[in-house]
Amino acid sequence: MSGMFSAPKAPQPPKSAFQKFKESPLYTIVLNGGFFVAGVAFIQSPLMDMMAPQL
Amino acid sequence: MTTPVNITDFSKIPTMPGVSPMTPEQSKGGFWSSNPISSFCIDTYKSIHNKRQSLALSNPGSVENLNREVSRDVFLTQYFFTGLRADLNKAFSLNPAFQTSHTFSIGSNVLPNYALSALFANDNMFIQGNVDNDLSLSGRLNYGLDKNNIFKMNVQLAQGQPSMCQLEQDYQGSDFSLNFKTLNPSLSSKGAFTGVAVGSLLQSVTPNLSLGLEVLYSRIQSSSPADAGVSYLTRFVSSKQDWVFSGQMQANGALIASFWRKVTPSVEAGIETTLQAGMLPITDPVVGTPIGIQPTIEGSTTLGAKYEYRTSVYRGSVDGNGRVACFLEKKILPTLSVLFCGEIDHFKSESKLGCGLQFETAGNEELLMLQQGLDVNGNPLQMPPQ
Amino acid sequence: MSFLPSFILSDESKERISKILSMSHTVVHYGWMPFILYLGWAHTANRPNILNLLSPLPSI
Repeated sequence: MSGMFSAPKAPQPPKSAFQKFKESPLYTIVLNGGFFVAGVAFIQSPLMDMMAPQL
Repeated sequence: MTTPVNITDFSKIPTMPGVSPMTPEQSKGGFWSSNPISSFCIDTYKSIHNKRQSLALSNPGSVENLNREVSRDVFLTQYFFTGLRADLNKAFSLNPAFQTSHTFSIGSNVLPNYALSALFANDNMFIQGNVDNDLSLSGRLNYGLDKNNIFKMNVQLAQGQPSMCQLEQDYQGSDFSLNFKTLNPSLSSKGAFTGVAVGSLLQSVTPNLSLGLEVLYSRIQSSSPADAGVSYLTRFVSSKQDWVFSGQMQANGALIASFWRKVTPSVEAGIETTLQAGMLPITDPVVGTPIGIQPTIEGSTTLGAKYEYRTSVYRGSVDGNGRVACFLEKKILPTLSVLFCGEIDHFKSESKLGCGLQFETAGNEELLMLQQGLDVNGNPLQMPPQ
Repeated sequence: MSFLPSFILSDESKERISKILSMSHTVVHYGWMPFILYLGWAHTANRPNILNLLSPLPSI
């Protein structure tokens, strides 16, 4: 490698465990799975009943 | 000295209890029921059939409608449009249903400027066609061969574009649904099948739960190798039919879970999560050549609700990727309804807007009266004709 | 279908099949909408004329 390509290599701070987790595919799975569970809980909860107008 | 047994009277021959050659029904029946091998098969079939009947399973619905409550009824993706549009629907007859529709649209990159569609439906047939200003045609034909069998055909023909033809056969059994469809089927000169063929089966396991399997075989060109995959489906309907869960694991690596609940008779809510697994090539940052692949997973979750009243329908949805959308349909006159839809993508800072008018006209006087809210006896109408 | 090699491979029948296919393509393309309109027209009690059938305006 010539210096042209490898020159601007600033020392990066080491990635935290959370940063690593956020970039892994597991993050998407956990996030959307959490969304789904939370959404189902919301739809089944009395909150959803309250959002329906009483006519 | 005992009297000898009359040799011609077979009923007097003593038989051992468990090895009686024929039961009374068997000796009465014909060849198939008296033959021990076939009668065993028939009896086994009958006992399985009785067992199935005793489970009191109902038809699980078709595979196509596995998550229809969420993706077709509650979500607004099917109805969303951009720009301005006007629909002029003209009904000629209600039974059999026959109507034509003229659609004008501007400012949309999906809808054509002008389209004419016609629909005809009677008890065992449904035929619909749509032709736009580029003379491209899309047509649908459903024909009920009998109570359980439906033949479906979809065609899409456009000038200068590959045509599409899908043939489908649907069978709805007492506790299962079978479906076979094929897209652009043809036999090449060597006799090899090209096109896409999909077979699916959905079987009720308990009165609430049904499980299914979908097998896909596709071969786009006879020179290229074929592709096959299996999808797994499940659907759970609650005993009161007020909530439905459905899950799909598709052959292309997608996992779809959806949940629907009828909150009140006029309010429905639904959520759908899609996880799509794929492979992304990793390129070398210096040279730019692929050096490997890494698995990626894209996910999206949409939460939606539908409020349906006598003269208006409101649909709203929120997306895990920052999209908020709504669709409002309001009948302001018996013959005129207004459509409004809007979408804002908060993460990308984009928005879309659509407005539309729908006019209902009639091809004869009786229907015109109906559309004005009066039937032949002058009573107000409950549901305006669609 | 490999048991029908000569029949399928013959050039004439191949040409005939492609001709039939392209013809049915054209027939479906231009015949689908008229067919629906005819079916509807035949089943409507007052038999609207072609202008009424195609115009979006109400016709009494």
